[in-house]
Amino acid sequence: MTSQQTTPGGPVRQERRSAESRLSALLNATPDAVVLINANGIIESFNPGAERVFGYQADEIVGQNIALLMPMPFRPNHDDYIRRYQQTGEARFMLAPREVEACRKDGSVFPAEVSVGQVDGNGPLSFIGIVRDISERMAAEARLHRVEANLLTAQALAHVGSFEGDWPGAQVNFWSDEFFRIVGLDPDHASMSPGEFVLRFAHPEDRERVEARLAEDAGKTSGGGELEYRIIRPDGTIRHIQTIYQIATDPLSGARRIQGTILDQTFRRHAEEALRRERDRAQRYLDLVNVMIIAVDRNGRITLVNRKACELFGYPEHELLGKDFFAACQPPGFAGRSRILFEEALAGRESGFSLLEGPVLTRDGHTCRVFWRNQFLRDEYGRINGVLSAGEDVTEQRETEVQLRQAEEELRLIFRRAPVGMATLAAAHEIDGRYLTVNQALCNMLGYEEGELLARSVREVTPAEDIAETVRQFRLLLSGADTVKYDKRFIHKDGSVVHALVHLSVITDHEGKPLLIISQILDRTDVVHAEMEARKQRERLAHVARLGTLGEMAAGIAHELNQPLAAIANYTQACQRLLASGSIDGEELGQVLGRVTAQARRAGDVIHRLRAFVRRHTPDRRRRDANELFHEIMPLVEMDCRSHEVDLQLELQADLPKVQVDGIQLQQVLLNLTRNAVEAMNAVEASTRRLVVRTCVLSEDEAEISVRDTGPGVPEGLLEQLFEPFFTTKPEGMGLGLSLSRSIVEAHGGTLRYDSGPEQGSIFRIRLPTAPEEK
Amino acid sequence: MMASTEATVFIVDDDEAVRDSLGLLLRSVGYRARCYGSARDFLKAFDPRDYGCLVLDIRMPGMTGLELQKHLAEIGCNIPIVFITGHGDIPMAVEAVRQGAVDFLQKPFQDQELVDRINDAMKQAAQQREGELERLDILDRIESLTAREKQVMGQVVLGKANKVIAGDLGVSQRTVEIHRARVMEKMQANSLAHLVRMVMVAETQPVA
Repeated sequence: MTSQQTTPGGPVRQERRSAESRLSALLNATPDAVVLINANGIIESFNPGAERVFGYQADEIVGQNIALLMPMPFRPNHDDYIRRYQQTGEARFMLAPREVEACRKDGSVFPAEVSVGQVDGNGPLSFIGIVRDISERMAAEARLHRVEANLLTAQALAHVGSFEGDWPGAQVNFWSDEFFRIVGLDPDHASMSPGEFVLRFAHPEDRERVEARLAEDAGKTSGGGELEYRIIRPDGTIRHIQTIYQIATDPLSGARRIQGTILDQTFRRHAEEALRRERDRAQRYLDLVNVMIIAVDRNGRITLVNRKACELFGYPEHELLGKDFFAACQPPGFAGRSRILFEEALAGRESGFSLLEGPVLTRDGHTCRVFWRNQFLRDEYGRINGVLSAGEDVTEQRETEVQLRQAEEELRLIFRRAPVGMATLAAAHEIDGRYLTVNQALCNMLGYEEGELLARSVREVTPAEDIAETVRQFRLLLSGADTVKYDKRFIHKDGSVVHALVHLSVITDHEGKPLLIISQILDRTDVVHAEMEARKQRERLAHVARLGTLGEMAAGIAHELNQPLAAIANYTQACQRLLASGSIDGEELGQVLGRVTAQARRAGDVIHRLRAFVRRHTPDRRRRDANELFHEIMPLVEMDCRSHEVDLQLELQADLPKVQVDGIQLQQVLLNLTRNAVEAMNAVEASTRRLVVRTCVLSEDEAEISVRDTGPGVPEGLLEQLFEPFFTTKPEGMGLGLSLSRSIVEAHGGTLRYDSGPEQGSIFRIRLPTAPEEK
Repeated sequence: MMASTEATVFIVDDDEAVRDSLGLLLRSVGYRARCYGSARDFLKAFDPRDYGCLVLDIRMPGMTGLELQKHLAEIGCNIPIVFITGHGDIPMAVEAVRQGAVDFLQKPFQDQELVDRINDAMKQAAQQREGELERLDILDRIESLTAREKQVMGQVVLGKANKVIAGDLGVSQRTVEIHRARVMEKMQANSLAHLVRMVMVAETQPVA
């Protein structure tokens, strides 16, 4: 300013010059084109902005018609505009800036905003035009339109609506079409303020929360937020909406506005819910299944692993994810081969990839065997992008299989090498089925080669008289007994008899149906022969003992024979006398002779009984009634008692169950016991001598015969030797009676024991198993 | 049961055939025979005054022959007994004879042997019956004495002189003499010795 004051010249001139200079600077600085034309449309001035906009230099355009700057269709019209303005003073474009098209020096046309003004002054009529290149603005606007169009489409597609309006008041509100659709209103329906909208549509349960947010934001001048809530549409359906909004304040007017979007989340929510459920289910399934599940990508990196797999490998899930499966989970020696297989499979060159078994290495260094089922994973284009493997820990199973094989082998060996005969038979054919397997011991036992024996059935190696019993045992086994054990005879190839103890067991299927019979056969021929020999010895000894017993009873026996003989003698002598004296008639004589015969028979019976008792006999076990057996020898016992002045009492239980015994042997035992008792009572007063023979049933399967005397009993000190052979207290005794008696009773499966009597004397108890009646 | 006056052979044997055949045999000889299966049955039916003899099995259940013999002796019955025995019972039979049995027979025996023994026994029975009758007679006579006469007789048979007796009883010698004469008369004693024998018969065999 100070410089202006020091500028030489007159103040007006100086002022004018300064105005020109300011104008010139303005014209030079403005980005707009400023063009001055005269009344004829000739360009008089062209500023640097115009040079930039139109591409002409000022000196080449000044003096040219302004129409040059207009595109072809409009160019000729420009002179008319000026002329009309000159004549009528009517200037259409002088009022406000106008968008027209302009033409650059290079002929290109561009949108321009033109303002035209008349230059007032004393000089000739001139106009000033300001031209602004608006092509960029236009392009931006066009872009904006496209974006808006796209936005609308996007909103519709994405169920996104938008809104815009005054904040917090409700002067102007704009809802996009999609907003109306989400809310369920017709787009013609009037939009409303956020507050009103919430009041009308928000779900009662959410309304309070949303209104609280509205109240909170009401005072804000900027900032935004996000809110999710439910609305109830006019048709009653519920939608989940998410709104994102922004509050802004115009810096000039201070008016606040809100802009935002609403997004219908209902379907996404449902989808998400379903997806989550699906994912949870999948995860749960993965965790629950009793197989390991591992997915790897093409590089062998673990992308998924379930709990089972984590447990086996001993790592938490996050430590496994992303690791190289082969390096981390397989023993070094195996990992290389395994990776080659994997890569070959990915490349489609390995077909045996889907089922694999191999070792895995656990974190603590153990190796397990895992059986894998592998499956390729593919992306949406069908390209293999990984492998999903389901693995099963078969370590124990393999070990068990190995053990099982060993056990089988051992069993086979045991079967082959067992010292007892063994064979298997099909359950279905009973004794007529051929042997399925036989072992060496059985072949040796029966004298056959294995092949020969396998061609035979049980029936063919069983003596005819044992068939029924064998069948019975098989039936017993197959009718539910787990095992049966019985003595059985076989026919050796050479025809001899093999005595055996057979043990049958049955193997059933899962329904309990018999499949296989396993037979174990123990050769007892030697034992049986030894037993037979022992039995013969015992029988010989028993025979001797019986003779001895009778020897001891000789007096009694003589008495027993004397009685009938004496009677016979008496009768016959009486008859002779009566006949001689003629005092007997034929009838009476006949009667007497009848009595004589009876007595002769009586004597004969005694002899017969004695002979039966002392004769050698082959043991013959039958079901016998112990009472009956005792009755048969009772005359012997009675005479023994008589000759020793012993009172004999019988307490025989009626309906005594039968016992399986050799009659003579049991009688021998009984007679031996009664003899001993009678003898023992010699030591006591005749009037107190009492012998009680008692039979009774102890239980369903045991019967007892006891012989009790009133003798002095066995002294304590002798009890132990009582049943010893050659122990005796009788001067003439052999001491075999009791030991023999016990061995006889025991050979019948019974027991013989001594008890001291209730007051004095002895009780000998024979207990024998009862023999149930055979059906 | 009425006492039998006829001579009877009582047979006791537990063996029915033996006693039945014995009965027949004895009847064939002309004896009356009664059979019993046990000592007890016999005792139940037997009257001590029965006349006869006993054929007794030495071995029997319950009461044996020997026991029955002993029992009969105890009750003052001396019926003659013939034992029959088995062959093993000789020592017992000997004991029986020592105890007064007539004899024993071992079964089986000759009929004549038995008949002879029975005859012996019957003879003895007859003697015993005579003796018994005599004793009963004596007893009757003793019963006829007065108490003082019995007293005097008791002293007389002890061999005491009349004077001593008179002193002991505190009566006169004359009185003793009268009683003594009465005793001798009532007892039909022909001598002092006769009286003494009669008193002994009466005393040594008590009345059953």
